[in-house]
Amino acid sequence: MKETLKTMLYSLHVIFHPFDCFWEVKHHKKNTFAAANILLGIYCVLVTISNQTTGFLFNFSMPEERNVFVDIISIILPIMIWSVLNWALSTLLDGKGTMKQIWITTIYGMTPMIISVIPCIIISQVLTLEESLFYSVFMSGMSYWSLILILLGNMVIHEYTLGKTILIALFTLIGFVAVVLIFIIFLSTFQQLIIFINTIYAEFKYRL
Amino acid sequence: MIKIKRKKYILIILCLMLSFLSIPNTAYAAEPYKSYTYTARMQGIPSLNGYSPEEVYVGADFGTDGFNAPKDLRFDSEGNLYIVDTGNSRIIKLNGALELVAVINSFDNQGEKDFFNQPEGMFITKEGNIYVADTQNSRVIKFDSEFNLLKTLDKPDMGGLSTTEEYKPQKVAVDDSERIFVVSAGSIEGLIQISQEGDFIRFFGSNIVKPDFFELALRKFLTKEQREKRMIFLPTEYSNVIVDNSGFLMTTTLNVSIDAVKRLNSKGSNIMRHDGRTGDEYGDVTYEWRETKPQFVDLVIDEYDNMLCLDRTSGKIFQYNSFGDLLFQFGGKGSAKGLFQSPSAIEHKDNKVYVLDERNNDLTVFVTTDFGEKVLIANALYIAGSYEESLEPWQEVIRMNSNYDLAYKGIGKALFRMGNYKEAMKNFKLAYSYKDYSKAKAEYRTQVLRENFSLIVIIIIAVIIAIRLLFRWLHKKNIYIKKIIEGYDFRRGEVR
Repeated sequence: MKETLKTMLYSLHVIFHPFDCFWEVKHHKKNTFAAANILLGIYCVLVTISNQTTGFLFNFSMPEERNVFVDIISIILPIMIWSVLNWALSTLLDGKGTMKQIWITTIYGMTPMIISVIPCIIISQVLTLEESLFYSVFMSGMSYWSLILILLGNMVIHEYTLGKTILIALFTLIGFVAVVLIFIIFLSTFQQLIIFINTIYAEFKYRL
Repeated sequence: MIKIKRKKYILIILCLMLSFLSIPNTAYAAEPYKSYTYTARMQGIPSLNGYSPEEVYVGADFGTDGFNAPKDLRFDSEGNLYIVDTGNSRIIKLNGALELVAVINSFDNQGEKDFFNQPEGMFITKEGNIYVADTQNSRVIKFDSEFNLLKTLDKPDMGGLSTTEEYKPQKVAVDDSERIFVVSAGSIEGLIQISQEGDFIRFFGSNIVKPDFFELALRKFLTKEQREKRMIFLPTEYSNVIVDNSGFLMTTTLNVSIDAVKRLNSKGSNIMRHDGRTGDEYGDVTYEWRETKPQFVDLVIDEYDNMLCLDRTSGKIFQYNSFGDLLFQFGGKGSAKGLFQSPSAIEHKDNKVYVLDERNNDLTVFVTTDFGEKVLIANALYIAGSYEESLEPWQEVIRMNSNYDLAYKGIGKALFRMGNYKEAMKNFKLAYSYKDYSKAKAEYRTQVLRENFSLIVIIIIAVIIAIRLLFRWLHKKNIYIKKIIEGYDFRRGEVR
């Protein structure tokens, strides 16, 4: 437990020393998977809180339309798909990282976003629309930083050059679209199947 | 035993009687349509009706033959109502109590008897002069208030500028400086401005074709022949023109929802305010891909500058205030009292709305409901900027319909003016009015800062001192946050 906590706190070190730290996370740190999952859990909780408490001017979600499960899934699912696809592509293009490691580094790379949630909530309570630039710059700055960290993490675990990392990241995004497309097709086919079974059942029920 | 039974019967009968009392009274003013307002998500939610139909009149009610496709309706300054009965080529004059005064079939033109030929529009100036758009005769006729001919304005020489050969004046409007503006059928160049002598001056305020990105991109790749075969995009034509209370021209345009209603300045550009939730979109909020577009055929301005816009497609009348907020909509397609087949003209006088239907050949009169009256009173004060006075009427509106967002905005503005910024913020939040909320928040923030300045300074100093002390204490205990974060270096097994 103590080791996990230590590994978790290590994410704060990742922010400024990505190369050393991702290497450390990959090779030497203990319980990195558990630590990453706890971090993800914390992020989900924080996002849920921020959806409720972000100031009115910066919160364009309607309380009556909010669904906690959808919020959480919309965080976890993209990371999952990213991990799977990135792993699938990098194994073909001699990347050294495992799927677990991609998952871990991705979440570690999200640290700037995780620590920016609470400051964002506080700022949003104070600022007006004229000063909204501060809010959006802070928010997007943190997101871009996370993006860079995720890329660097990917680069370190696969032992790639930067160019190759970016290339594979782009391929992964294309794969994203494909997955979503297949998912929609699958869903609609499944719907058809259910209707089909339903009609057969109804037919049987009337005949027998 | 029997006694108890009897008591029971009495009890049962009493209960029954009570239950009859609690059955709701079924007599209510049944408008055949339902009003709605838009939420911040642009979804319609039910609202109370602002207007209810009072009476429907056909030609026989005035002692004349039935109307035949009547197309325009005007009040003069004395309260007389004129109906332009297009199909019968006549104008019917009624007094304020809707009793027949005169039927104008013909007029004296330099000693000869002259007739209208399916006139579609008329206009009455402040001085009382009457202009009639005599459509099939291709002319505009100027009368004095007693229908004595002053001048006939025949087809002006447009010098080949017009794309359409025909000149069929459908509607006419005359502004305060006696400039005449004509809506001619199929004229895509905009309004035709003519002088008092009947000379062509210019085209005024033409609608602009907005370039479609897809179309522009496609045209880059097409050959000249292919390009010529593509659909031609023409500006939309005006359907009506009126003059508002402050002398600006207002127009309606067919088959568009964006900027379907315009207020034109002397340069011909649109100066309409769009502060409301529906923005520059008029009629029912629809989407670009929808096939049915609204067809605004007429509008009228009431004494508080509210616009009543008549949409032929949906048969509805939309009332907006001069800031562009939707107040009510009423009417609809159908044959019940208060519904229309093909409404063609609208007029307004003393909280009553008169709507002409060219297919039903009747005139429907609407009156404001209690709710409508309250909203209109509150809105008038709100528009005039006397927010404090509008507070109470708006609160009454909220009591009747708590979904009426404009009322929250009004209350918020009143409270803001009174300096109660916190409550103002609450109301702006309910109205989803971000701009106003932001303003109130800025004021509230300075208020709080000013009142609690010393306290805030003390808290900041205290926090700084506390952090200092905490770090000193951690230093004494030999605990370093940096070390905790970096942790052990497992390769060397020691603190880095």
